[in-house]
Amino acid sequence: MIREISCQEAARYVYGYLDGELEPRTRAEFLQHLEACRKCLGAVEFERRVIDFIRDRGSSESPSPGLRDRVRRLFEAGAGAGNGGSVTRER
Amino acid sequence: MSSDRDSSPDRRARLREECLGHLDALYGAALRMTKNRQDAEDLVQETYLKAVRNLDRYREDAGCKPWLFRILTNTYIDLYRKRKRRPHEVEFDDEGATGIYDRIVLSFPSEKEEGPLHSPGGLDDFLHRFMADEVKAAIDELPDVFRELIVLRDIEGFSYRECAEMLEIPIGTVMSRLHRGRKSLQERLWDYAAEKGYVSPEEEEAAS
Repeated sequence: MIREISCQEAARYVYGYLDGELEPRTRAEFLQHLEACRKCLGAVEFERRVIDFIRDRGSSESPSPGLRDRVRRLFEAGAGAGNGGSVTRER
Repeated sequence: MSSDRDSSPDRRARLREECLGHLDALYGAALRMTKNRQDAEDLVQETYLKAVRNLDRYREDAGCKPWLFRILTNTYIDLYRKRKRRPHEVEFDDEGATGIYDRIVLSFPSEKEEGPLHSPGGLDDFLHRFMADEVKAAIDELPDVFRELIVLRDIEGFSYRECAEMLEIPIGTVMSRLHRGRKSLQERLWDYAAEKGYVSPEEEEAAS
């Protein structure tokens, strides 16, 4: 038996659901609510579209061609120094 | 001795190619974080420099991309964000951001019957009025702590746990910042659209 949740509670799970981060039980409750509630379903679909849109429009920038060359040279210099020379600790 | 500690030339060459494969993603994230091309290139270069120095301690099962992004994020926080860190993390005026779903529904009434999104003049139509540069500008205007999460989660697709580890904050903080950041970004896009006339005065009127 899956617990019934309110629209107010469902609203708190929208991003967790879209991000694939809900616990299985919460996810089941949330999905059951969506089956019965058109308004919340609309809100979920809306948020999904906006996130997809941000991903689509917010990415895809190319660095200058020189950066790739400089980075490649870093690896070559690093390889020449054997086991990395001075190994500085990350934090 | 595990093969992970192997520093043979073959391994180094393979790791080099794997690391280089993430260059564009790292640069894109660096650009959104620093908001400046030169700073972004410097940040990426610094990230790879640290990666090269630490190549022997990289554990392959953890994945190359999260490892590089963790170095990038740490370096960014050390070099760029701390410079302008406020003494306390202030309460932003984005605190009460609720997003724009209700406004969209109200201003494009056809959505109510058609299901919210697919009807002409609906959300897709609203979103397609934006150019990529305008969306990037809206992201750039977000407070740092929100912008970082929009980049790491929405653009790069890292999990809450990975984001928490990179930024060294609790998962609950990741969730609340992401929530506020997303809602705030929506509102900024809406305001921008209104300013630019992408939303007609009638649509704006209907939503208020």
